[in-house]
Amino acid sequence: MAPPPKRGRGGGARGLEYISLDGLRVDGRLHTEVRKIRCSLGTLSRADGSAYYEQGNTRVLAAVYGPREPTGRDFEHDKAIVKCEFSTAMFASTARRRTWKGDRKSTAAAIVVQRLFEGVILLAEYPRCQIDIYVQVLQNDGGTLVAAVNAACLALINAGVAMSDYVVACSVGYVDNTFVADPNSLESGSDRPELTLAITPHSGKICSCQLVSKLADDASFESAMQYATAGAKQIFQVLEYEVKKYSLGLLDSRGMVAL
Amino acid sequence: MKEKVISLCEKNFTIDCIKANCRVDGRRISEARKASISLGPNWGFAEVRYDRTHAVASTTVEAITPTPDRGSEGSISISVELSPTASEPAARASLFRNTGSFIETRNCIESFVRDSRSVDTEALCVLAGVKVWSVRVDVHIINDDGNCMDACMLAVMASLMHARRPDVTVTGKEVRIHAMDEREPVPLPVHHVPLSATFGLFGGGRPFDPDTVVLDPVKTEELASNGSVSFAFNSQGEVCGVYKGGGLPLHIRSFEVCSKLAATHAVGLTAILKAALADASAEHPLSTVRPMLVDAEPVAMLAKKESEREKLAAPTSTWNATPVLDTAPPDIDAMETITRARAVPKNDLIDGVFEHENEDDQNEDMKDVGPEEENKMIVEKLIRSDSESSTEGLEAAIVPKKQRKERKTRRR
Repeated sequence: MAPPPKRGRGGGARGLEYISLDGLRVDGRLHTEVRKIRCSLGTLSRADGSAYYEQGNTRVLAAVYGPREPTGRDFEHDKAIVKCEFSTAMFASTARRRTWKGDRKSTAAAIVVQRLFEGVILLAEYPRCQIDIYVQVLQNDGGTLVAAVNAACLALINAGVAMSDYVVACSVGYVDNTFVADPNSLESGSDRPELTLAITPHSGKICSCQLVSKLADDASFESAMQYATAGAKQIFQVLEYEVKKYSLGLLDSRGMVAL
Repeated sequence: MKEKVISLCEKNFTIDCIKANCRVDGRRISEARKASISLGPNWGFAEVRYDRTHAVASTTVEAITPTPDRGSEGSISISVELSPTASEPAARASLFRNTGSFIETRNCIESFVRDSRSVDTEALCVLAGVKVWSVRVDVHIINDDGNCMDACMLAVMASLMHARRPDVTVTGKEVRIHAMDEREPVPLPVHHVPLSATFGLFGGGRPFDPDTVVLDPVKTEELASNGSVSFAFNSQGEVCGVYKGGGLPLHIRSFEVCSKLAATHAVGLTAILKAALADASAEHPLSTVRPMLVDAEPVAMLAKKESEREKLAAPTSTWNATPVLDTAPPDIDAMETITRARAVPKNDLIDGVFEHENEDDQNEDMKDVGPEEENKMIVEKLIRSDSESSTEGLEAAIVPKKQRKERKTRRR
């Protein structure tokens, strides 16, 4: 891992100091620290699986329907198909948005989530089925794709869909010549490098990886990957705890364990 | 767009081939198809072939009035069209609407070119708030035989490098755009050339199964694979973008090997691109009248002496030297050369205190070189290690026609 940020550097694009003299970021985090995560499973009553996920000020709701009969014409005779819709609430960021789904960014994010879970869900278990994932961003403070992936993972677990592993995503930004885990909207500017990584935490494999803008070389790319992996592992602990808590609660409600 | 389905026999054959360390078309696991580029006759028209995969790109430059919020920036937009001639599903989709994996390709190329700031949009400004250049690249996939991503990416960059804009004179607030035949047109501000390498992913679906990665998959391999991963590198070895949209979870080690291979691949492609550009400018009708802006490429790396370019010419065969296999141990010698060459800290190189276990003459010449040169060194080493490579055929692909002629006469 790269050394911690050197002191006394500053002055971002907008004259903003992204990392203070004490090595703290704009919201008081360390450069390896992810934002505070809160999540809960089974938040929606009508969906087969649902989750609410909060990462700092980014808030996301995910719902899963299925495995169910395909709604459209396409299906696969030997496996399930995954569909995903990614939408952002009009009030999610400071400027009110006109379009809330189907624009370029939303479509790209939806495709990423769809492809990602196609690789992790045991599709062969559900022939001629369709699994729908709906992600709704309620508040956007950077890292919506990360939050969407993590929320969708929880919702799929809640729906009882067979998966080979968890999927945990984390992003890494690059400000003031330092890698920062899980950048917020201030830190993830349009022209700065940002790596979004999704891993399966038990086997440590890479499910999805997007790097925008450019990094100096292979080595810095690898160190960015390390930051993202470390961040994802932090997030995974929270998710796993939450899933265990939820499962124990279910067992308890059926009188199978005494809590 | 729903992709064509292949039969189980075909699929199993493809997968068995890869398990046996070969490919359906006889290539090695990490061997790319030969790319060929032809440019012109119009400025900004590029045609790229990866064997049967065929893409054409055309760049148009237009002077427009900028939007108020970005008054001092030009714009670049890329559109990728899958022609109905490309494949049967494409033909079917064109009757309805193009969707699916194809959007991914377009987003990916746009991200690689725009987000890595390969074209300087600020340099596309003529007069702030009054006139800026709007660059538009249209790519058409004419025939799809797998790996459209790399073919399109190469076509886009070739087209941008070859494109010219009209010259302008600014007097006060007045902008005068000269016709293309009035003044010599000016090349676009291309800062660096990101070129991509796409790998098809094969392996079992279970978490601890080993995975295999093949460079430049053909259509059958693409259909039999569990997703793909694309890396964009420029010849200076900078990572300009990575895209893995899902698919088979990949081991981190395979990922790193891929990225190294992609970096080498980009150097080779850049050499081919450079040769094609030199060819095109030599063939241009105006070149007989007066010297053209031949070395328009601002990339320092590209402006190399002929001898050096010749050395670069071999990568078509050498990037095959390292099989990317998680199951079988890769070609250790070649791998080591890559890692060793990369592991040398730059400071040591500058100070000249660099010491290595087997200090041979090859390492000697690395003492005072920058990172771009370093890449070439690796390539050179690989060439030396690859005894089978015949320089004769490769020469034809890389060295511009003029020089080839000259050399032939010299031989006689």
